[in-house]
Amino acid sequence: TKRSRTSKLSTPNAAAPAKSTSRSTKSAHAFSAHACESWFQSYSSDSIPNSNHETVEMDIEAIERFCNDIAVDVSGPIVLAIAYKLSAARMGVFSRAEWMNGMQLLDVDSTAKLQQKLPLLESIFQDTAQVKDLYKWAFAFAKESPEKKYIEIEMAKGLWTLILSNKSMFRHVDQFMEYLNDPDEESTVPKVINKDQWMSFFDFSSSVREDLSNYDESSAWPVMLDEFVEWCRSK
Amino acid sequence: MSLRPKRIAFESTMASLHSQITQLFSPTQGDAAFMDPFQAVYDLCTAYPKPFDDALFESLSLFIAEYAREKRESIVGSLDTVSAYSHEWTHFTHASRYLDSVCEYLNRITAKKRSTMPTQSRRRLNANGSVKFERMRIHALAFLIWKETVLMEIKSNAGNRLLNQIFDFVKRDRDGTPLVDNGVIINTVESFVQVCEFVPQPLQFYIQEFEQPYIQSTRDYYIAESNTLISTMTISGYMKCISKRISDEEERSCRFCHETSREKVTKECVSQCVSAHKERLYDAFAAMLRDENLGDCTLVYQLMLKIPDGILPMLQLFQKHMFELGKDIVARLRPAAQKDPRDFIHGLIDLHGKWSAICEKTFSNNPAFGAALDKGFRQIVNESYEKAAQNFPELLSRFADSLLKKTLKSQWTETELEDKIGKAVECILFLNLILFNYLQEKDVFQKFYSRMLGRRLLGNLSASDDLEMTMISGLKNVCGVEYTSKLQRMFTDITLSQDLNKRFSTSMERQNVNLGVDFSILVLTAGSWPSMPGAIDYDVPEELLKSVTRFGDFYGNNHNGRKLSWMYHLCKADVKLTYLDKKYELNLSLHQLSVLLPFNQDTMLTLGSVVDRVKIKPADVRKIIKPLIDLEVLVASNTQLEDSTEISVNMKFSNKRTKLKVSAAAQNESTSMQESEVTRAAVDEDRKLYLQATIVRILKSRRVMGHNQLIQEVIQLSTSRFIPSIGLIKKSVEQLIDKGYMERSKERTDQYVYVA
Repeated sequence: TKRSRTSKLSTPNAAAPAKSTSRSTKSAHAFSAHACESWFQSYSSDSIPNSNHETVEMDIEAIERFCNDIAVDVSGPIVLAIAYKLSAARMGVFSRAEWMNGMQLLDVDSTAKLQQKLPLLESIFQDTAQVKDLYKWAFAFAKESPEKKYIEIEMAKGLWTLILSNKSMFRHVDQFMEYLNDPDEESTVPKVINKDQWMSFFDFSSSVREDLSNYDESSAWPVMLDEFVEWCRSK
Repeated sequence: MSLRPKRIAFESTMASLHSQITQLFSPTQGDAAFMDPFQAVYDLCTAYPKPFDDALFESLSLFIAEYAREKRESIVGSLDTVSAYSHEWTHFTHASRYLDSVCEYLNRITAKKRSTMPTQSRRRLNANGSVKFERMRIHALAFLIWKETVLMEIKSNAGNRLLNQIFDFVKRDRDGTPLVDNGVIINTVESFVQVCEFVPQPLQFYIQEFEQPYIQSTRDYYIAESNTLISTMTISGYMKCISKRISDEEERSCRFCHETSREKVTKECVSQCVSAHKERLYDAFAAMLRDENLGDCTLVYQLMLKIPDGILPMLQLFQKHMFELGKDIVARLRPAAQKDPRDFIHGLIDLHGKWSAICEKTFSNNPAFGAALDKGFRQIVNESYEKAAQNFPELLSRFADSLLKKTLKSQWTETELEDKIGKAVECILFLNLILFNYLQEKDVFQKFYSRMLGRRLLGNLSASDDLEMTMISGLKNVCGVEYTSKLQRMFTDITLSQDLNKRFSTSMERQNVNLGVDFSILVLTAGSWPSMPGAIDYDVPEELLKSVTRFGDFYGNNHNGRKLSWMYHLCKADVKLTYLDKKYELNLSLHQLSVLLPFNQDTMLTLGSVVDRVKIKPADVRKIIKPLIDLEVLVASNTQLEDSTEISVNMKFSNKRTKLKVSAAAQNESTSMQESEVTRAAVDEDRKLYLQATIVRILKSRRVMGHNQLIQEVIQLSTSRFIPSIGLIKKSVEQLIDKGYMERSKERTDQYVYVA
């Protein structure tokens, strides 16, 4: 299923550039680079005139406006999924290149078309393979700067609740948040999350049973998770 | 005599043979020889036209069976069954052996027939109902008949009288009324083996018919006996008695049983006397250790050696006892060890010495007890104590320091010194080989040791270089070259520096340079020495600047590319006070010298102007000048030591001694505690680096590796220094993943991959 779903999204897009040149005028539904460009500019128009085309960005306010237009919560999972589909590199910013490539891949060039895709974007969070890919991307996305090797714990907490929302696929998330917020554990819980801890929690959440019965302390889990499990068991 | 086959009258020949055989078997042998029995057998076997071998065999078997029946009746009928049996058996064996040789020719034919004929059923019934035996060698036939007709019949039809009587005799022997004549018993028991001489598994009959009942009777006897003994005697008495009984029983089984049974019989005896009561013996052993009742300990040990895994519980008790004794010493002597670790460490060394000797004597140097002693000590030494800042590795290295340091009172005579050194060496050796060996945190010891060695070397406080080297090589023996390389390097630095100083002063002489002061220097290799905190912003005083610059140039010329960084805070100076009636000599730190020098020009200065001249921070100057004021070399106008405080040279200074050591700013308790913590922190940092390096090294050679295997190998490689916790290893792994040296395998979550 993971293949078929992704192909739904990607096949028309992969074929689109070749065909669009000849058939763009014929089909009303076909992707139009021009439309997409002006769509982007409707959000970035307030930036300095005559500035380089390529470096134009959508800032956080523009993104808020954009979310309003498509009727999506700016701090919700959908906008995260859009950012993922655009392969956005940083939080709160869409560059022109990200927008143009990403929207073309989604095969949308207008608010209306994007809104039709929203169910598809929502479905990402229900699919193991896609959500894992998104989860992996989210780490780099959430870093304050590319050189940083970790993300702040508060950021990580927000993303965990947002991304691992499907309770039947991901377990322990709420409990883990509780642990991270436990004032008694303040000295032991991590202040930042590195990539390894980030990725390990995905595996932990998707593979360890609700009752932790298949958690093996002697295995290679990061110490953070050992301590979490110990905390759970002592409760 | 003729060998040619001839017609023979079977009846008459047989009858004559019969009478001869009868005579052979009868107790009183007449010497009448009618005819040659050998010839008769031969004739019968080769008779013409039809040999009578079958008939001969049958007739013989009937004869022997009849004979055996008769004898059985007489044996059973006699009061002393064993003697009667023994007598008859002896006679029977002789007679049957003779008969066998008489029937040599018949045996030969039988052997030939047996090899050509298909194997028949063992026996058939004759027409007259008597048993017909399969053809076999006559000797074998005789024994077979004896076994069945005499032994088996007595067992089943005569109430097993024979064995019962034997067991009665044995019981009497065990009870201490030895038999007058063992011979009949021995002979009887042997018959059980001999009688089966010709069957495929000769011992089977003996085992089944004699050995098993014998062991059973042994068991019954010792169950009763040991229970009686243990309830009427002290444990010590019981053990002595039972040891004797066991060795007696061993000897007895040698007498009465076939050699194959001896072990089994002894085992049964031991199992009833020792195994059955072992719990009580172990309990008693614990008490014996407490009371140091070593003689009895040996008895328990010797008894327990006889049963499988018998000493295991003893080892546990022994180890526990060691730990208890150690804990006692810890409770008594450890609180004071904070100030002076000597009593505490000596206590442990003595304890170890005492119990090693006990292991040797009481437990015949059994390595298992040595190992239990080791385990106990490891437990004592590595038990974590409440104050992490003052634990065993530190105490142990401070103890070593106390041994290696020059004592302040140097009024030792030559022999006393020798003696002291001799003793110290002995202690150090103990320390090295024993207590140090038990340490798990050897790296902590090393850190403290190198700190203290550094202090000894820099302060010229070592009692003897030889002792220092003995200690270092002892450590090397236990932990390897790597462990001591830095210590060794520190030592070498000092030696090289002496040489360097000589070369420097020669070079200065050659250049006709007068430095104005005696100047000597120690060049230390960075990294080999422990960090020595306490450096402050500091400029060398004018008076020494020349020396420092000159040496810098000299060193730079000799060792191109090496960088000198000056550790002024560790320097010492000797200063003569020339303005007093006596000539005093002060030994002080370079910093102290700096604040003292301005007083060469002015005998009175404000603290502020001292600060200006020496270019040291005011707070530091106050700290530095304080001991000089305390010693009354300088006098301050007030104790607050403000900038305006006037400080002047004490022209009336006097002291009993002419050589004075000006102490550095007093090290109080809290700074020494701090030092422990600093050292601890340095150790933790070292451990992380060490673990990371180890992990990378292992993984580099393996490329891909399972989590658990990695953990194991890391622990294995680290144990000579310290025992890393799994958490610490995992953290190091995570750090390495973070740094990009390794990653988690994509195929398996509990596997790591090396990243080149």
